[in-house]
Amino acid sequence: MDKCKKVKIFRFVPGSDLKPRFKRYSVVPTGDTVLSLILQIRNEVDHSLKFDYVCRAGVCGSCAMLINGRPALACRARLDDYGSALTLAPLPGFLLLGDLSVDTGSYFIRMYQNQAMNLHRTKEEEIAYALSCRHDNETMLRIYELDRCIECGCCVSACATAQMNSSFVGAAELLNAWRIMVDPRDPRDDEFWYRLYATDNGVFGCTALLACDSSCPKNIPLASSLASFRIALLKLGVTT
Amino acid sequence: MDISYSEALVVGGGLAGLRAAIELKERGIDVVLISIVPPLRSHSSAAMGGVQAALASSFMGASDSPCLHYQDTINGGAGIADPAVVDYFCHSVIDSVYQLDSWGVPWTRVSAGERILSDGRMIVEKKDNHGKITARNFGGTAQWRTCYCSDSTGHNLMRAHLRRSAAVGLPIVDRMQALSLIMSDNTCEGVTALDLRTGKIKLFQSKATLLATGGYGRLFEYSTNGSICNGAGQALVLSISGGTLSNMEAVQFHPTALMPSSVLITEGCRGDGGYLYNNKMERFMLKYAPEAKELASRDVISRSMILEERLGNACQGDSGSHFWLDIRHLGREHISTHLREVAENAFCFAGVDPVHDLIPVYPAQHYTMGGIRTDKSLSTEKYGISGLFAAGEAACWDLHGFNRLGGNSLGETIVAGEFAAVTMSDYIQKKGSRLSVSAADDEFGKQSERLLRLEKQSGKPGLSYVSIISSVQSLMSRYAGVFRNEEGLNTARLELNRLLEQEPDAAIAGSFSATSPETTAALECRGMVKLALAVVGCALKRKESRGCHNRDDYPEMSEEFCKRTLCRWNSISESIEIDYEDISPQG
Ligand SMILES: Cc1cc2nc3c(=O)[nH]c(=O)nc-3n(C[C@H](O)[C@H](O)[C@H](O)COP(=O)(O)OP(=O)(O)OC[C@H]3O[C@@H](n4cnc5c(N)ncnc54)[C@H](O)[C@@H]3O)c2cc1C
Ligand code: SF4
Ligand code: SF4
Ligand code: FES
Repeated sequence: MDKCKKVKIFRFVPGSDLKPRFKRYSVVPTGDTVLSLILQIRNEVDHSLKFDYVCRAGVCGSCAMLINGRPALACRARLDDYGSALTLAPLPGFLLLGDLSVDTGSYFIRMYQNQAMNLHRTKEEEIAYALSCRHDNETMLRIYELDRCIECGCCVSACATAQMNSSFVGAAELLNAWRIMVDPRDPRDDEFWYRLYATDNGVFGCTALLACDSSCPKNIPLASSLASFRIALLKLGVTT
Repeated sequence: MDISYSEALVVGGGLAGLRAAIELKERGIDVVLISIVPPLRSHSSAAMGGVQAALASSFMGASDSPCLHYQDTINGGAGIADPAVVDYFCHSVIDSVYQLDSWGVPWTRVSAGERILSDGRMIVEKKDNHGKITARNFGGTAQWRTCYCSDSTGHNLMRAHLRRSAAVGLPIVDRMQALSLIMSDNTCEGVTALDLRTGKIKLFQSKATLLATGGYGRLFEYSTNGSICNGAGQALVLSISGGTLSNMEAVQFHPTALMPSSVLITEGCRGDGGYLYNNKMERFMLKYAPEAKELASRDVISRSMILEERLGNACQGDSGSHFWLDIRHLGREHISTHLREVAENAFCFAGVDPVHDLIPVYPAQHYTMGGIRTDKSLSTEKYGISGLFAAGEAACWDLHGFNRLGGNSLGETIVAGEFAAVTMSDYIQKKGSRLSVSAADDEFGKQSERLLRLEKQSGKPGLSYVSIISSVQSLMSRYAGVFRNEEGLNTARLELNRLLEQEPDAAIAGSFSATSPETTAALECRGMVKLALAVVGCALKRKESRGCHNRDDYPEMSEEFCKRTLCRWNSISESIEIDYEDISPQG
């Protein structure tokens, strides 16, 4: 079999390049993953190629990009699973920083800010609180499952709604809201979440087409989580 | 000129940096945190195993206490851990674990009732303890003490910290690469940094600066660490006059890194009953550790592997030597539930399915005990620099001595981060408000020139920065690995000195852009060569074997070296200066 990969990579650095283009490379890969391939291109052919990676093991969420049109983690994408031709492009829906690198950081900082509330408790009070509560492991595992988001941005890029309406908060933010809402240790009442997300840019903006669900590299059950969140907020709407 | 002014500056958005910044903010101090990557990308997120804290809530940890934790940590440290620091840590980390519970960390809990352990023993968890935070087993501990969240503890801790950061209104500036410390005589007044979005140099002036930039694992070619663990903070300190690093030769190796990618395969595989084989399919650990076998400590197994290799018993794969890890007998059911991450990684990065196949593993760099020298309160004041603090893997305050216990570094980041913030706020209260304008201007000028020079030189034929860094990495893995000796270390030193001489003539190979990955590497390059020289120099001078530092030519521990190593850079002779200090009289 011909080991040579034909790779087309989106190249554009806003502010220094005139216009975006796809650049073609032919490489005989020395590694097994898309990340190892673009590292090889950066080291051997094109030192200026921009993309993000840190852990190269699917845990830090840095390396998401469109691989043949679908959002995925480059470090987890095995070359064997793709044909001899590859097209790589940056995740849509985020500010482009250059080539394959996008600004997912700002999206998630904003998410944390939206969901934050200062509690003004002292360390002593917090410790006393923790010691006074017991939680069975099922509850913790449920939260753990919802807390696995690595903030890669794949679900936001896969979502047609988010692409058309930039005010729509996106699947990751809804998931994380639901994660906090089901945590018995968070003292906020459900109305807090109702006010924040029972809107057209929140759960009611989501058209439930579920492209997000199949794009999550951590296999987080986005479909069922978003549905549960919507139902919880709808119920609140009925009772209030 | 773009200047940010704050009372406190935190460099690094891993657990240590976030914990410190949150504490500062809660104490009413105006603080800014900068990080080269968005915080969640930090290496802290990759820690899976957990946090050691003697909660004594589960059956297998029922008789645990901070005293036992202290004993285990001191034993691990091989004479170099500081008793006062260890004592403080072992008590404080318990509070930290509970506090983090109230911040929403989904700690795994005790479930009352019968449970079968992986070795077949049956235990009964008490009803009383149902719902308390439980603990798992980790190498080198007398009791089961490691609190955890399934298999991604570091990730869950990071997310709890990020939620808290937002709640207290902490300003986080990501994609900001610290370039140098702003020094006014012997006082640190912030950093210069390169904005990786705009390519502009920024000044972050502050009364107190914390370096929480993580370890220097990426000096090694084979490392389980993320790509940004380049020792940036240690390099910043080494480049200032009087800046002191400590125990740089103390580098830990992990025996089961997946080959060839060096992605970590968790200790859990061996804990659950996995075997290790050599190329003759012999369980070689039966020979080296007849009692503990595959459950021997990380360094015993790493050493045994290298000794086996020397006997010609390592397997030879396409990309070098390795051994086999076998978990096939644990069965599909067990592997797909308890070792899910292992199965995914083995398939993704080595193309093997651990249900049917053997997993290729070999020792790789894992943790760096050495770092920026601080006193017991995380300040560098006693070592001649005011206004500068360090915490987490970046710092060396002698918690781990010459070998870190698994599960003690996540705890360290939180305890030390919080404590550093207390020290910093005291310092800020005492310090006047005046910061030197000329010191900041000078440093801005220097860094701008450096960038300008890179631009001018770009495209020039010759050595690239990237190739210098990869030479450093292969030298370090080859000569400063699990076993070291005079000859190899001398070779490494010679080669590193040659690279240091060549570095000023290196050039960016592609076209210049201040935000390109090559520029980032170019700005780190010289610092990395110097740090490598520090590791090699300290390893050469320590003529003994202690903890993770093993000398072929000096296999015994020597009383004479029961001291911490200090090292500084002499900018006139362009070389490392090394001396030693007793562990106790530090104050
Ligand atoms: C695979 C793996 C598993 C591990 N598992 C465990 C475990 O189970 N238990 C345990 O206790 N320990 C574990 N460890 C060790 C532990 O994860 C680390 O020691 C710890 O997370 C270090 O945290 P930190 O905050 O000091 O640094 P890091 O998390 O490395 O953060 C460093 C920060 O500094 C920033 N930075 C770096 N350079 C610059 C620069 N030039 N300018 C600006 N910012 C910069 C980075 O962006 C980052 O935010 C593990 C380590 C590895 C490699
Ligand atoms: S269900 Fe559809 S609209 Fe809703 S977040 Fe997912 S992809 Fe977007
Ligand atoms: S929910 Fe999944 S796809 Fe979306 S950001 Fe989190 S990890 Fe990525
Ligand atoms: S590099 Fe961390 S997820 Fe891919």
